[in-house]
Parts: sequence; C-alpha cells; structure tokens
Amino acid sequence: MPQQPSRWRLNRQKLFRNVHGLFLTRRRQSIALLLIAFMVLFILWTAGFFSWSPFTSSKVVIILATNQGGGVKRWKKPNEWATERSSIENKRRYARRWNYELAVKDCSEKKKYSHEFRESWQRIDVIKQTMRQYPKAEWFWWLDLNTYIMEPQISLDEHIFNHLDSVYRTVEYFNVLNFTVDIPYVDYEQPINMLITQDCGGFNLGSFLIRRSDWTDRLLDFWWDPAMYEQKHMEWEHAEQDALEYLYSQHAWIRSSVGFLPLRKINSFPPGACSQYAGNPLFFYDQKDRDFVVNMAGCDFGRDCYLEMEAYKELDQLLHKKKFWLF
Amino acid sequence: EAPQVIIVTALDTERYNNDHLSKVVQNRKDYAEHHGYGLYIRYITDFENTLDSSPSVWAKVPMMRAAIAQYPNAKYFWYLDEDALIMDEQKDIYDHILKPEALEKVIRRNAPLVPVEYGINTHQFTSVDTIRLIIAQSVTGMLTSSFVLVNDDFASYFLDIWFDRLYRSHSDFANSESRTLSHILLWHRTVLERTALVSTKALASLSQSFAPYDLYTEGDFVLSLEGCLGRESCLEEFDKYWTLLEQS
Repeated sequence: MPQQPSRWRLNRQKLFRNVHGLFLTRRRQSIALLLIAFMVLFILWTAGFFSWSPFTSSKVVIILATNQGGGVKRWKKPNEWATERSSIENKRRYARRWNYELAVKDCSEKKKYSHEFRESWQRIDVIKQTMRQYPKAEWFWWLDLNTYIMEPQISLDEHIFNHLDSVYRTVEYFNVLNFTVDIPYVDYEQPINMLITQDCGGFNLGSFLIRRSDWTDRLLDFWWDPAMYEQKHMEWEHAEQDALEYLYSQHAWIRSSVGFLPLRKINSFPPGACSQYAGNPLFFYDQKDRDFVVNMAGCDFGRDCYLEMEAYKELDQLLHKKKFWLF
Repeated sequence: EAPQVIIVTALDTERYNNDHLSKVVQNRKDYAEHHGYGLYIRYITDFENTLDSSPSVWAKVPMMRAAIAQYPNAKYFWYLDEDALIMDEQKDIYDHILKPEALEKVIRRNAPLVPVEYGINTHQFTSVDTIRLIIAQSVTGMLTSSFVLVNDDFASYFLDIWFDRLYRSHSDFANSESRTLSHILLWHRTVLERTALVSTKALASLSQSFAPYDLYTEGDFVLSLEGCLGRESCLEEFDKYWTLLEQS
C-alpha cells in the first residue's frame, strides 16, 4: 500500500506550488492587464480604428493611394517601400498641420478588378468607401502615391476653396482633347462638385478633389457600366480616366458640376513627364513659383520614382530651411 | 404660372398619316384642357439630327429633355406614346398616381425587375417623396410608352445617361430604349432608388399581353398598344379603341 504523504507535507506542497504559481502578484497582474489594454488600443489605433467617423469632424479628407499593385505580380523593392514611406509621411504632416483627415488606402491588385471579373474601377470603390468612412467630411482630395506636397504652409481653403467662383467651368481655355466646348443643356448654376486638371494628354486623375453631393453619388455610380466597358476597354488604356473623358464629352449633367484647375495648381509635373513639351510653362514644377504639389506621374515607366522623390524631398528641405532655430 | 403636368408625345409622320395623328393630338388636347395641363407634342423628324441613326423609338428621350427646357417650372412630365390613348378623361393623373398619398397606394416595393434572372428588386423602403421616375413594367419589360418624370436635377441626369451613345451602339440595346432602361435599373442604384414601379393598370393597360392582369378593361385609365409594331396591327387596334372612346 503506497504511503500517503502526511497532510502536513501535502499542504506544504500545495503552498509551495501556490507561491511559485503566484509569480504574477496582484500588482503585477494589474500591470500586465494594463499593458495588454494599451497593446490592444495601440493596434486599433495603427489599424485606423480611431479615424472612424464618430471621432473626427474635419471637412477635408486626403485619400492617399498606396501599395499600388501590392506585390501581387512582383515583389516590392526596398526603394518602393522607401518612396511610399516618404509620401505617406509628407501627407501625414500636412494633414496634421491643417487638421485634415488622412485616409491611406490600399490599392493592391484585386481579382474583382481584373479584366474579366471587373465590377468597377478600383479608384471609384476606394472613394465610395472613404466617403462612407468619413460621413461628416465634405471634400475628398485624391492623391496618387508618387506625389509630394511641396508647400505645406498653404491650406486648401486658402489655395482653392475660397476661390471656387473663379474656377474654369469649361475647357474653353485649355482643350487638349478637342471637346466640343459648348453642348446643350449644361447648367452652369450648379455647384462645382469635382475639381480636375488636364495634362498634355487629357484629364489627369493623379490629384483631384471631389465633394460629397447627389451629383457625386451619381457619378460614382454611373462611372462604370458593363455595356460601356465591354465596348471600350480596348481603347481605354487609362481606365477610369478615359471613361471620365468620355462621360464629359457626352453628358451635360457631368459638365454642370466639373471645374477645371490649371495643372500646376495641384498637380505639377517633373521634367520627365510630358517630356515632349519640355519648357512649356503650363505643365512643369517651377521652384521660383513655389508650386503647391508635384506629381511624379509615370515615374514607374522608365524613370526612377525613388530618386525623384528624394530630389523633391531635398528641395523641400532647402526651400523651407529655417534660418533661425525655430523659424 | 406653369401647368403642373406636361404631356409629351412624339409623332411619327413616317408611320401615320395626318388624320390618324390628329386623333392622337385630340385625345391629349381634350385631357389637358379638362385638367389644366400642358402639352408638348413634336414630330420625331425634328429630332433626326440628335438621333443620328438610332431608331425612332429613341426620340422620346431628347424630346423629354426639350420639353423640360421649354417648361422649366412644370413639376411633372408625362411621356405618352402616340401608340397609347387616355381612355378615362375624368381621372386626374395627379390625384390618381402622382400625389404622395396616391403613389403610396400604387407603388410596388421589393418587386422583381424584369428579367427576373438578375434577382434585382425595387427598393424595399423607399419613401414616395424621393421618387422621380414612375413607370410600369410588363412581363416583357419596361413600358416606356407611358411614364412620368419629376422635374429636378435627377431628370437631367437620367435623360442624359439613358441617351448615352454607347448604349445606342451596343448590340443588345441599340433598338430598344426599353431594354436599355431595364439595364440601367439593374446596374445603377442611383436610378433605381428614385424609381417607382407601378402596376400596368395604373399607368399603361395593355391591348395585348401574355399576362391577363395587364390587359385593358373598361374603366382603366390609359391604354397602351405596346408591341403593336411587332404584331403589325397598330392601326386596327387604335381604331378599335378609338371607336370605344367615341362611344362613351
């Protein structure tokens, strides 16, 4: 018969276990819980949970398209990661300064936007989703990844929103695509709900502004239609950009709410883009004029996005060098 | 002081002679005079340039646009095809369908759109105040021979997109503005949410239909000869109902 350990020994064993099991004393337990709570909140914060509607009330949201391609067809190189970081940081600083929201949106390749499965244009869905995410915001500024805000001390109110009545309502002054300037039934009394620019080849949607409205709702709904896509996708190399040019050419209701800004107002080009027009003052960033934003359009086709981004970052630092320690 | 309702009709001089067309116009005139409504009646040939080479059924769209430009203060635009007749002159379309309380009775919510294979229904919880397009649907599709459009910025949007060149050049839609309208309702929420589907009895009872509940019976408001072109019986059907009208 196995000998039962004496009760005293049993108790001591239990006590012994308890003392070691109780490594986490009550005090340490509360610290641990606090740490876990902070970790959870931190994770939620970086995931963007707190930029969800009830916590924000800014009237402007910057939508930054990042992770273009998303490493689906090929891996992202370290330079691409670096450019992305610089771009995001640049927008973040600007948004913080003027109390705008920054929505960093993942634009990786998704099956539903691949040709045969296409349900929509990706950009459109991103805008729709961001408008739902920030129900109190009025204006949404779309920026492609390879852009840089060169003059962050200028607010959008000062630069654009306070001068909406002097915006061009037609392509009368600059008509790259040879649209018929006047078509019947356009109502120029309608408010402007979208501000776009034209580059040397047509509309450029690398940097544009769109306002929450019924009109915008309709544009985002109608922009993609399967019957039209079916007929035109071979021609429409620039996807939603070409679709918008087509809609603009046809529809009076679209023209009623579109305003045109000069390219260099929000979308200046580096010398490599539209290079066949070198020297034309309409398109290119000019340090003397201190252009607001530069858009390194097409830098991933034969140029070097990383080098261009670094060059503009350096220029930014040069232009905004503080003479004295604080200013 | 604009009339509240404008009736729009497109006349096709290539299909009908003036005698026939004057009967159509008379039918509208009598109704409009009775209720103090306006008329906008044009020849399809006037819109030949706008139509390009699209079939004449499409003329109703630019014609509605022109009507709205002509009467910017009118509230409702009722397109009524030449192949349709107002059978009951006493019924005021405003009291019968357009005013919110009346529309509430005839609107068909959560109703399947044709073709039903798509599984798209009209919205479940629309408020009649948001409705801008009132149209009936038969088993074969949208009855564009009789529909009402409210005059506001939805109308410009809707009439523009309906008439889009790429729809008229698409093999499925080129010949049928009705099929195009079905497509738009299936694919574009911003149009569907403002559309009220009503029963054919309310707005466009049919002279012939596979579905017996769509057929015209005495006392119905409007008769539509939808599909008579295909049956090649437009004139005889019209005359039959014209005599009925004259007798009453």
